[in-house]
Amino acid sequence: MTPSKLVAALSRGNYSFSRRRLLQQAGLWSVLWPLLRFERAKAQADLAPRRVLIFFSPNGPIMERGPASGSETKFTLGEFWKPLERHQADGLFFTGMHQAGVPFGEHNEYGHQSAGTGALTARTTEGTNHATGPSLDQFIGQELQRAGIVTPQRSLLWGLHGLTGHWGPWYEAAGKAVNPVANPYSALAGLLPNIAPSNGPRVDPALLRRSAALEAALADCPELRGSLGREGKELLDYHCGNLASLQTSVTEAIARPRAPTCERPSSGPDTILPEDAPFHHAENVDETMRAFRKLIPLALACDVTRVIGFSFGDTAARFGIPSSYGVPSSAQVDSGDSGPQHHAWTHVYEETADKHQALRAFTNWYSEQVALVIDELKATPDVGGGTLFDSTVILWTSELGHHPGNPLEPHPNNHVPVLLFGKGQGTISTGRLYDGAGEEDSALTLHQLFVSLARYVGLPNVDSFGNAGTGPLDWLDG
Amino acid sequence: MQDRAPVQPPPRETSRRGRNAPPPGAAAALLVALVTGVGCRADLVDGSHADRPAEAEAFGSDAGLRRLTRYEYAATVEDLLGVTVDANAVPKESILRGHSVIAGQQRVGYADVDAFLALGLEVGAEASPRLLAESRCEDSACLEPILEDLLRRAFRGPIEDVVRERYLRPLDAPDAGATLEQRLTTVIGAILSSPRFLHRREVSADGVGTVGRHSLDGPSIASRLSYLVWQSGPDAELLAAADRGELADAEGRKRHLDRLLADPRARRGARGFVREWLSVFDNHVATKSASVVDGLPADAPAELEESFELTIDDTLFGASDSGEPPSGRLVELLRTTRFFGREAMQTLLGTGPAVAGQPLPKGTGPRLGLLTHPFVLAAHTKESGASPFPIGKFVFESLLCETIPPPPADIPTVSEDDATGQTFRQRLESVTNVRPCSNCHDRIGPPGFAFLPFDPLGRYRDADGAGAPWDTSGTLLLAQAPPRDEHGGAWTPPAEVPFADTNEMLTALADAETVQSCAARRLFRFAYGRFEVDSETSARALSTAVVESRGAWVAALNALVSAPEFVEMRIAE
Repeated sequence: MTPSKLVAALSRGNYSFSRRRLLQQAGLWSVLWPLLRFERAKAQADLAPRRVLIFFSPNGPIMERGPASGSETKFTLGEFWKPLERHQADGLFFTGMHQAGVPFGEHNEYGHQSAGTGALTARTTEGTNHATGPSLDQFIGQELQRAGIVTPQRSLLWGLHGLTGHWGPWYEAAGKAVNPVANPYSALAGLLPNIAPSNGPRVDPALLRRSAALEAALADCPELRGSLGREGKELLDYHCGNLASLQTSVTEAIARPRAPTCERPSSGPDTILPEDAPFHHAENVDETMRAFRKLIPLALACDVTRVIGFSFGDTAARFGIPSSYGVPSSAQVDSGDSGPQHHAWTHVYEETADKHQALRAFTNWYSEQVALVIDELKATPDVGGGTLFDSTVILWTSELGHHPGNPLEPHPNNHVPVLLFGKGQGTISTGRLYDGAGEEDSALTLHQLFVSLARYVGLPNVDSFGNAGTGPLDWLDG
Repeated sequence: MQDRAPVQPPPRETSRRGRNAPPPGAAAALLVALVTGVGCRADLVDGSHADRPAEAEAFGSDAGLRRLTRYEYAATVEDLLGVTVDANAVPKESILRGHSVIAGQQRVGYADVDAFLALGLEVGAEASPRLLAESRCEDSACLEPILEDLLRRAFRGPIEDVVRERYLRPLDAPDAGATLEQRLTTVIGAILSSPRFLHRREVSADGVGTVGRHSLDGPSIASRLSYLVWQSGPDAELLAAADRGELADAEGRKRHLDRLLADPRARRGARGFVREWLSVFDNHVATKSASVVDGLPADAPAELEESFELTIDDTLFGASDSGEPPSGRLVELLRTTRFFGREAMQTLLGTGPAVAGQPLPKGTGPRLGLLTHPFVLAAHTKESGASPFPIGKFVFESLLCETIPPPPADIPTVSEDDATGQTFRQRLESVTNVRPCSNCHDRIGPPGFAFLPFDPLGRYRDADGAGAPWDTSGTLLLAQAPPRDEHGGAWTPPAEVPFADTNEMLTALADAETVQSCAARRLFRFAYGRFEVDSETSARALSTAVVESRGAWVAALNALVSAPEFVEMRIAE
């Protein structure tokens, strides 16, 4: 039974298999893996695994229309996004985009509510106070596993905040939010068992213990089901389906050989911050990002996952950057907050130099972090002789954008900056600008972009994402 | 807001989404949460359970599985293995309309499963060496009886052979660890990752899950009782009583309730309920603006949370060394003047230093009950400035069990320190006193305005931003509609309770039957993990007991556990 069939069986409520059988199959899988991998590699002209990296930044640029202006091929980046200039030839820049999934020109929900929950799910809350479907990263991770493309982690979600409140951007399913891991030590600890050392046992004993524990827990599932009503069965099936999914990932981690370009780190994350530091604190975010900038290529090079989400802040985040950036301090605003943080400045209803300086500083900072991650990906060798950047497509979108008629509006769902980097193994023609002009169709373009990303990473049958069925974005290949 | 516009902002551009930019110069402003008002009147008219929203209909039956809350997980692990777990490290619950305990809403996702597994193995790694040292076991055979007992308590009932074998097998499996200690760690990790542990099971004695009412089996009753009182699983004595069938009988349950209440762990149940009652699910202290938290010690969040819990303990159980007998009444939590704490509490309340074990001396301004406690206020206020409408909304939803609809999109702003000759409150009311805004603001405004003098962490401020004294007077509108099925839906107008200041408002709340019956309703949900249905006699009996005893905690628990529904489950379509 392949992992995909295993998941399919479990999703039908068939939990009856033994760990021995599972490991036997895993063993078989381990023998077959290099052959299958070889065949697949041949078929794909020795290309490395396809990956997607998704960044989300909170609030919005508010005072800037979009990341670039000019014609499709001759354009300049706006000053808010200048740090990305060095990667301009490798990027696609979308301006004038209306949030996907959010009704155009309607204000049926509070700004942060629709923007936060819609940015990556392309859906409205439908009055539930939550997203009504999974975010793109979770969707891709789930679908890849269903399609038999199994990695030791279905997906990874890291960020500069831990718990999310209502209206956050990351959802596993309708109404089921996911919280990023904000501690790089924890993030590394989650990776390490999946990365065999070059001079130790091929399989980390911790993985075997996880597998043994999961086997027992999972075997309880069918025994618990019989006495439950419909609601109880749904709860149990959801839980057990996720236990099975995790077991599938762990089994894959046990079975697969170490990727040749993957080196297990021998020390902690690359940061001077201690393990119990407040990593999200404004003065610490540079150091925290330094650690995550190394963890992202590590996870991809070791093929721990094919999809990573990274969250610079929760919806309406009171996000701050170190004082050395000189962000001025906002007075108390109508949302009750104040100080040198992103959300407060979006609620300042005056077009002042300080406000511009602050909003530029935040977008510059996000841009610089994305640029630095791209630097790392370009510098990390990948299987097949290229670099990680050759096979990784990077999406960055923002919670909110800009209102051309009212640059003081703090909650615009329109003119949301969207940026894409990476040639996607030659499938994407970069160095271009797309102008959605703030029109209704631009939301459909984003739906299409999301579909294209899902297809790129190995899901050719995905035809819609969010609340619109749209097909892929043909414009990507030029 | 369309018939007249008392606040006249200068002309400004209307956005495509219909939102207006506020007037220039509103550097410091407070959001005026105007609400459409449609929901407020409708809820009053039919006298129904106004805070049972449409989706609550879907959560009016027993799910049969109740995922442990963070606090239940931590308490259960502590009782089972003697390991302290930070509740904040446990996957969080989903909140539904101010409730964290509605079972049908608590799905265990992929990230949760991963986190529970990691946490379980961590707990196992801490517990295993101690278990081995205490037992002096050197092989798996020696550990078997210890683990059988652990399984029975962790899974809260009898253990079938197949389950026992399943969880003992890793003790001899090389994959589960190279040493006995590692293999024991794996077993504990497996136990704590199992759906049998992570969910409290409430299943019928006849073993079927068909639609209708069913008698619960003994272990399910034992768990319902122990989690209500201890926030933890049943001990061996309670499980044995369940085996003997003693818990099917109301007198038997009350006997065991008395025993559980005499245990120090009973404080956990009270704390858990009060958190739920007052919708205090997280520690929000550190989320306030720098200007609000400046001057407080680094451990202020932990100190304020501990202080909150000590006030609950002191009021319901008598926690301090002062020798004063506890009132034991929930309503006293709304008007106690006994607060505890160290540097942060002294700073925020403006008191002198405390004598160990004694309440803090009186501080500045009115301070009555948990609603004025910094930890509670932190959960219901904005980052800085005054938060009259969020607090008013909290009072109506959590203490009066009514639903206030969310604010509409087009919300004008009113500056807190704009010197226009009017007080801040006057300027707020000039916007909210017109229909349809007034439909809800008539209700949430007065209790909210009573909190105007408090900053987001409960510091008392003598005057508003313009230097004017606070006007904290008003009239509480308290719905007094009884259940529909007794009164045919006839509308009883709300009682109007005038108050002169903050303390009078808080006293009126504590005295109000509406507040007490709402507390009973929320206690029912805490006990059952679902919303009540109108026809349930136990919900009404609980309400009567709470009102008649003026919120006596022990009386409320007795009414709960002696009700016939306490040993039943209700499965809907």
